[in-house]
Amino acid sequence: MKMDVNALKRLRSLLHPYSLLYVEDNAGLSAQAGMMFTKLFDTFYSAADGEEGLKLFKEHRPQIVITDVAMPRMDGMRMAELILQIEPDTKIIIATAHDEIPLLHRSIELGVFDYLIKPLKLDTILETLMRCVNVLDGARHQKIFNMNLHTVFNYQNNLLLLLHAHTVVMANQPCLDFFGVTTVEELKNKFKTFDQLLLAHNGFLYNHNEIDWFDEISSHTGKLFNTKIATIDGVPHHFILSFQSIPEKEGYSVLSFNDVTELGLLKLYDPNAVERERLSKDEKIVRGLLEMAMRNGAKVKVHNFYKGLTITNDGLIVTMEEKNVSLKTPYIQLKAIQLSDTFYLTSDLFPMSIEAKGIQRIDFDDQSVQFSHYTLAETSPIRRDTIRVVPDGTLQVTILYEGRKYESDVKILDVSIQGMRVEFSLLPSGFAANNQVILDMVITESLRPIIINTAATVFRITEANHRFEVVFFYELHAQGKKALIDYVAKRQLVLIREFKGLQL
Amino acid sequence: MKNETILYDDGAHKCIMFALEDEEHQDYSLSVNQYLIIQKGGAILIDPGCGAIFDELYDAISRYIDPSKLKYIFFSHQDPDVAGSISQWSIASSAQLVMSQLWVRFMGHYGLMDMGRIIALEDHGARIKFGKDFLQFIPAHFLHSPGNFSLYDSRSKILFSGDIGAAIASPQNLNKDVDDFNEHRPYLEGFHARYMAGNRFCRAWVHCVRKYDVSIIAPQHGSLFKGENVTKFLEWFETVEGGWEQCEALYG
Ligand SMILES: [Fe+2]
Ligand SMILES: [Fe+2]
Repeated sequence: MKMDVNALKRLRSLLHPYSLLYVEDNAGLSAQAGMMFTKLFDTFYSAADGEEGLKLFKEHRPQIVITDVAMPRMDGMRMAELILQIEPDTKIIIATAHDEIPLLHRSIELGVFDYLIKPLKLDTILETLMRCVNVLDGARHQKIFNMNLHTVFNYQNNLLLLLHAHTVVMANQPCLDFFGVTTVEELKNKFKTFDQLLLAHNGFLYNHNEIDWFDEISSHTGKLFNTKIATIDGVPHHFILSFQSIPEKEGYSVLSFNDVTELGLLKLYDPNAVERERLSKDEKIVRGLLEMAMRNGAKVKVHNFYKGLTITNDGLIVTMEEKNVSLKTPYIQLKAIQLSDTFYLTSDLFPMSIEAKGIQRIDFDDQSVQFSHYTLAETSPIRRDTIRVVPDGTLQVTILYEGRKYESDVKILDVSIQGMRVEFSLLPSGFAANNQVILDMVITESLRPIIINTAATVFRITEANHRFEVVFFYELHAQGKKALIDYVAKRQLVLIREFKGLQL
Repeated sequence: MKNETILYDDGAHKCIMFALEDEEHQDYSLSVNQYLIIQKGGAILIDPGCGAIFDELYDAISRYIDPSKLKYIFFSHQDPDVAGSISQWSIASSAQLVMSQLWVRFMGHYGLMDMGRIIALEDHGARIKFGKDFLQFIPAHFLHSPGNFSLYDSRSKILFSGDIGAAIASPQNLNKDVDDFNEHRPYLEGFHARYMAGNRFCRAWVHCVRKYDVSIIAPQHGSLFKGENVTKFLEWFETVEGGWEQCEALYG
């Protein structure tokens, strides 16, 4: 018996999850077949009669059994009957030299997988094994699929696909319906060009430049993505996509799509500024974003400020009733929320951050807060790269501008290693953005005062209540930079202690 | 002791080892190492250590890259000799801070309030890709910390193993290279027997590590294992017994 090496490799890899029991009383035939089966199966058992076959079956539970009929001690038909009583899903292939109608009938009655006439031809065996693999794979994938559905949040309402590497091996009915196919096999073909089904939309996941959608999801297991896919009639739908690998089944993963089209959020991601401006005030639309996060169990980030410090923790939207939204977040964040009556929510799924107000109730035992007002924040206060703090009295600044000093009527509002926000009661005449100044900072917290002298640029000037707020940017070096890092770090610790110690 | 060594440099990708310590403790030297990977314009700092060495490490890094260009700072686990300086680094850079999800909420005690800066690793780890290459966070839970990761750099083939492979007071720590594994081994044994959770975890970690082509194992304490010492170390580590095996002795 000869076969093509590549075909052999392929079949072997397909047969890899399964083992075979071969039962034959003719030693010559058995040895010959054995040579072929060891090439195909990782695990292969052989027995010389039905009784031995049954014993091996009980020990090893192979998924496929090929058996002769006439054998001493126990014949193949009786053995098949007993095996199918133990494990009805076993694929039994009867191999007989006598093509007898009653034997065929009996085989059908027992529910054996196939009935072959000896001498066995290689082609026939391979073809039969291939059919065996298809049926066994289907059952196995269905089992993996069913067992792992629960790992998908809200799976009842999602389109779900089970993947093995890049290939679809199982899908639920809503998924087949959406993509307009009737079988998993059809979907498998359609999925090969799935990158073309993911439509371009601002901030959404689709193939472009250097982004390969599958690379992106498979290297961010559990992350949620916005996607846009059209129905077969060309109507665009908005889905939240997630990818979960199945840890104990190597190579398998579940892809799920939650349809959030009816929340009408697609236009929110539109970069058209005027339209966005209008929508950002529309609480109904913003509520849709929160609902999308809730339905998908999406983690959001909750942000507050305390004397310049950003306080951020994870949050989860748990319920929504009428206008009221309930958010779970740790104690420390609730405390910050209570202190400031407002907070910000961000998520990779949102087009902008959400400013939340109208706090109804904070429940420290339940670690949750309920709020009823939400708008999109066009200029987000939380995109901060550096840590800022409100300084204490040990940091002073003198500003030198066109030969004059300003120190007594200036106050530092907050400071970071990149910049400083300063309040002036009176602005120097001609002072404007992009002006160059010299800043002299003095830190007097230790015995020896530290002086940091730097050039700085006026970034922005704003006026409120007859006071002027000026933002300076600077680039510090060496000792000066480290001294300020040190100051900010110490100040941060003090502020954290102060914040934690606050009795509310 | 050399306190700055270039472990790998191909022009576009560079790995540097620092060995800065809190001087007061030099007698009981833990022989602490910090690592920096530079990839084009960005960089990742590994286990930057306690607050006391912040200034010195900041200077050392500055010789290679502007610390504000750090993209990630990786903390293999929560110990103060690993993460004690997290607050300073969060101010000095805009880097994302990468650690096990188990330790996120504890970072407030080191003076970090903005948990938005943290990338919390799930138990099975994660991969950061750059071009054809990648950084892989490999689970190392209970070796010793219950939320612990090693970091493998596919370009340099260096495995940054955190506390795994730590040797206390080995004479071979002096030049930071293990010359003779058998002579070095006694200094590994004491630490690992008491700090590792049990043999099952050691074997699980070795199993994960063997999926990658490793040319250097770089621990947070002590010396580097190179070439055949990598194999020797892995073979030895597979046999290490820890807390589980000594439970009776520990509880009397
Ligand atoms: Fe440690
Ligand atoms: Fe350590």
